[in-house]
Amino acid sequence: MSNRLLEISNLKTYFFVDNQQIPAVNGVDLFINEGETLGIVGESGCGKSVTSLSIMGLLGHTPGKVVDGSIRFKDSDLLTLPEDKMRKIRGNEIAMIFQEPMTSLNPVYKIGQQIGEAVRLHLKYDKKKTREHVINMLKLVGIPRAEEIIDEFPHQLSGGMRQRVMIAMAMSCNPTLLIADEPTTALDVTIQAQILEIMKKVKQEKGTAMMLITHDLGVVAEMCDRIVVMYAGKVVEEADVFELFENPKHPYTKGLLNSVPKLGLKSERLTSIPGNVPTPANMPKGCKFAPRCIEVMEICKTEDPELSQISNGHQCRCFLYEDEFVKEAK
Amino acid sequence: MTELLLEVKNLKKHFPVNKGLFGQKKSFVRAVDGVSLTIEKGETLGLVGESGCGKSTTGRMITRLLAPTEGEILFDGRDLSKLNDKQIREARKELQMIFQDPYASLNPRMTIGETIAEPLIVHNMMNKKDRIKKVHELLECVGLTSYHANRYPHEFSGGQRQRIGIARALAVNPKLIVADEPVSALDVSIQSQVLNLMQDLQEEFGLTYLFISHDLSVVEHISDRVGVMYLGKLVEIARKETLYENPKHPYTKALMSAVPIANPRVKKERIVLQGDIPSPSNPPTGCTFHPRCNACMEICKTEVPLLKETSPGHFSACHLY
Repeated sequence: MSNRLLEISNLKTYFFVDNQQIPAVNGVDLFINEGETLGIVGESGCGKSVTSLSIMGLLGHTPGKVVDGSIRFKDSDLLTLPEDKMRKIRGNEIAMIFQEPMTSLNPVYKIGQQIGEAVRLHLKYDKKKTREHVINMLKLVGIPRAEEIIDEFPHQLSGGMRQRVMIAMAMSCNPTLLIADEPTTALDVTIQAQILEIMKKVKQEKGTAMMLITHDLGVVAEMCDRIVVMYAGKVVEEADVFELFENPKHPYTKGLLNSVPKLGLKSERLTSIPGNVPTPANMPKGCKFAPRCIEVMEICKTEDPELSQISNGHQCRCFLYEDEFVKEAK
Repeated sequence: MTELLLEVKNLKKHFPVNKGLFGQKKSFVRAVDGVSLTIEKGETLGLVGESGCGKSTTGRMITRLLAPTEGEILFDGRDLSKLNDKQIREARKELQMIFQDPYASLNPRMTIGETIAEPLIVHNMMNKKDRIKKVHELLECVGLTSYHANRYPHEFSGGQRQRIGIARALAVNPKLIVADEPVSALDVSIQSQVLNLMQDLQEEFGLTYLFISHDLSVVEHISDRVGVMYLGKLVEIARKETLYENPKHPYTKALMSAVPIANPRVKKERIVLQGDIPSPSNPPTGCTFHPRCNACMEICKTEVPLLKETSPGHFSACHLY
């Protein structure tokens, strides 16, 4: 059994807007082992990005606040860590790649300065060594003419190149955990293929653990070892990649898998999930998925199911599998 | 033989870029550079390509939201590119568009009812009573209810707004609907709802679609024939079965192999293209794809390949064939 790197238990992040509290993340449990790639899948508003911001402690500028739970990284609880210690971890041991390469780079600083900032802060390199290191990082992510690009500004680069710069920046301090929040969503398919190759290569070379947040099931199937499916601020299913794609349990996971048109598979009609994702301010009682679920039962409308184990490493939050849970317990 | 509804011949759109001290027109962005295609009545033609390949510009020229620089657009026997503004308005009764961004394409100050009724007013089609009836019918057609008519766009989710956009396009009983990335702003579970709706409506009203998207699997699902665009040119067009099973053009092959498959057991050989898409203001000489092509030959660097029929109904623009 490999070592736990990150363990989140019962994380609750609420947003306080207009005298209301909106539960964006409402009791998330998950873990990542060393060197593993965990995929987090879900639609917009399911709380996957807020989870990652909570880990990084980047909720400061939002009305969001972690109200309950713990995030254990190695030996420390990130939620109770003082800001100066958190700074040493953020960008150094845990790094993040953001969704939009267009807006996450500072337009008035050169590429080299932006990547170098973290290197000088965390690794305490001098100017010359920093520059060498940055050039090496740029080469690692496959940027041609790295020696020239280092002195260019973000607007001189294309979307794919900027995302490479973001990866180089995230990897520059050799993090043990890399959080990638929709790293390829804004990119074209051929560029996405390039970026995924690079992320795989970098991960293999450095043995970094990765948390990949995405809504693209294809990307997940290709990159991840284990998958967590989120819906309305909660984990609804967790399993390793093969198990999840071949033997999905939760009706939402099934619906999600069926609603994507697949290349080369001719089907007349897509099965779709009826209705819309509920807004966090307007959550249904009981199971959050009940109003859209095709296998809904009476109990689902009043009680919220627990996340329970179905088989080894496969967990699901659904009343349909009550019997199987019990068997497991005996 | 089925009837042709639309025939586009050598369509071009060059956007002038002002350079120099007095804003003289010095160069052109060749957004669309010689596209020819046909659409039969009742079929769906999918148009795929990456950003900047000119697929949206092509769609906008067909609905004449943009005036083509060169070329002909024969729609139902009329050349749309030669019409004046008044005639185009008239012609748009039969040509409607569904836009990509459901948040930006609805007027926030108009109720849904007003939005859907507007095309009917513009085309002077019905009296007020009939219009209201028609709006209610349309709303039910697209899976909303008639009481939604008095609400404003901000009260709706993305998927619902896209349904409203579809209802608006249907209001004037068009023959052709140009759908420009209608589902790319939507979540997967909502995306499939909208795709199913579009298919149902096609059957019900005998619609013809030009479906523009960057998502190959969505295009495969909905289309009868698929055209692939690269840098302002159509590089390959065929029936979808032929195109997806037996792609000819190296770009199509690379594009297909780049799509991640939602099955962890499938390990496929991926063709990873090197480099980025060149700028359409300064496209490479010869075949525009040659700097990234893995089967590049000498001839590709100098001569522009033409769209040739390699097997019946399968056209591709490559010197290999």
